[in-house]
Amino acid sequence: MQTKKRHPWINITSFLLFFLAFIFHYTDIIDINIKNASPLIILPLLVAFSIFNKPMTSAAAGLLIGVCMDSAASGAICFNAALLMLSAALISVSAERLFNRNIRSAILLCVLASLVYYLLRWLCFYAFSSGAEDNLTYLLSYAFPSMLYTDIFIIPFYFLYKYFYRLSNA
Amino acid sequence: MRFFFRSRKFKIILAVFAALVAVSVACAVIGGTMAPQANIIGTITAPFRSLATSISGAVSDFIGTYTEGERLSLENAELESEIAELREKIADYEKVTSENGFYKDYLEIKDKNPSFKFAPATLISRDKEDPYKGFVINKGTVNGISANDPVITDMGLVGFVSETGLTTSKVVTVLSPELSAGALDNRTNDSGVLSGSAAFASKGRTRFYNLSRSCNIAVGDYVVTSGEGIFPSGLLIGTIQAIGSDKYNTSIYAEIKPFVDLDTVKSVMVITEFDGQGGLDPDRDK
Repeated sequence: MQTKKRHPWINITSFLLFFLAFIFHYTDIIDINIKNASPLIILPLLVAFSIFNKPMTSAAAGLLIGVCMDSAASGAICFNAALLMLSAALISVSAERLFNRNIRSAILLCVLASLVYYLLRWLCFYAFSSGAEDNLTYLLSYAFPSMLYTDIFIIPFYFLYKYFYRLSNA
Repeated sequence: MRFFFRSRKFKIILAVFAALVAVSVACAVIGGTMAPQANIIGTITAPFRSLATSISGAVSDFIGTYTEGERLSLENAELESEIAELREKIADYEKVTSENGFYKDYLEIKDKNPSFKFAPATLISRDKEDPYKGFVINKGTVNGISANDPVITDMGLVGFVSETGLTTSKVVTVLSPELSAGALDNRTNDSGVLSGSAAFASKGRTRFYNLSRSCNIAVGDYVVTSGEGIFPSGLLIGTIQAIGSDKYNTSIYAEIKPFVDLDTVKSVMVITEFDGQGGLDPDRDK
C-alpha cells in the first residue's frame, strides 16, 4: 500500500464512525431490526476499514472495537476482541496480497468475515449450551438472517473508504 | 502472504490473541466478572451509552406526547387551547407521579419483604445480537451489586446479574436458558423449573417445565419464584399462555409470558440482599 499522506480527518471520521456504529448497535437510539435479523454494522465497517488500511492498524481497530463490544455484549468475555482483531488483520493482508480492492472482493471478504463471526458465536455460546432444537433455532432464526442483513452494509462502507483512500493518495 | 505470517507484526497479533484467550478462560473459571479490559472500556463508554439511551427515550417520549396530544385535540376540539396550556404542567405532573409510582411499587415489595435491599439501576445498553434480550445496567460492584443478584421491576422478575464490572453489570433475562430457577403456579402450588429457550424467546416467552403429569395448572395462572436457586420466593414471573407435553410424554411444560416487557424496560431494581440468599449456589460468598 502506498499511503503517502493521510488526512487527519480521515482517522477522526473513522473513529467517529466506529463509535456511532457501536452506540447505534447497543442502544435503542435507532432500531433497524427486521424481525429477528439484527445487523452488526460494526463488522462491514471494520471490513471496509481493513481493506484500505495496514494489517497492524486494522488489528488495533478490531481489538479496540471488539473490547468495546465485549463490555456491552452478553456473555462475551473476550470473544469479540480476539475475533475482530484477528479477522481485521487477515482481511487487511488478504486485500493487500490476494485480492484486488474492488467491490466484489469487499463483498466476498465481508461474507466470509460475517460467516466466520456468526458460526463461531454460535459454536461458542449456543451449540453446546442448550438442546438441539434451540441450536437450530438460533442458527436459522437469528444468526443467518442477521448475517445476510449485516453483509448489505459493506456496499456503502466500501465506497466511503474507497473515497477516503483516493483522498489520502491524491 | 507467507512473508506476513513470518513477520514480527503477525507474532504480536498472535500474542495479543493468545492473551485474550487466556483472559477469557480465566474469567470463565472465576465466573461473574467482566474481563479487565472490557471492564475499563465499559466504564469509559458507559456515560455515552447512557446518554444515547436517554436521547432515544426522550425522542420516543416526545413522539408519544405529540401523538397523544393530536388525538386529544381531535376528540376535544373545544378544549384544545386549554390542553395546550396545561400540557406542560401535565407532563411535569405525570413525570413526578410516574417517579412516585415507581418508588411506591418498590416500597410495597419492600414492605412485603423487609429483608430485601434494593439498588435502583437504569439500562444503558442492549445486546441486539442476544436473542434473549440481555442488557447492561449502570451500576456495578461499587454500588454493592454482585453476580447472581436478582433483577426486578415493579411488574415482576427481569432476570439476574451475570457479570459485574466496576460501574456496569450485565443482566441475563428470564428468556435465557442460562437462567434456571424453581417456580410455582401461584394458584395450585404445582412446582417446576423456569428456564428459557431460543424457540420460546423468539415469541417473547419463557418455559416452565418439569411439571408433574398430574398437575392442575391452567392457562391464565400466575407463575412465581419458589425460592429455589438464586431468587427469593414470591417474585412474579408471568402468566401461563399455553400448556404442552414434552416429546417423551413424561412431564408437562407451560409457555410463560413474562409480566415485564423486556423490549421497553428502562429502569430496574437489583435485589442486593434478601433472606436465604445464596440458597443452592455453593460459590456464593455473601
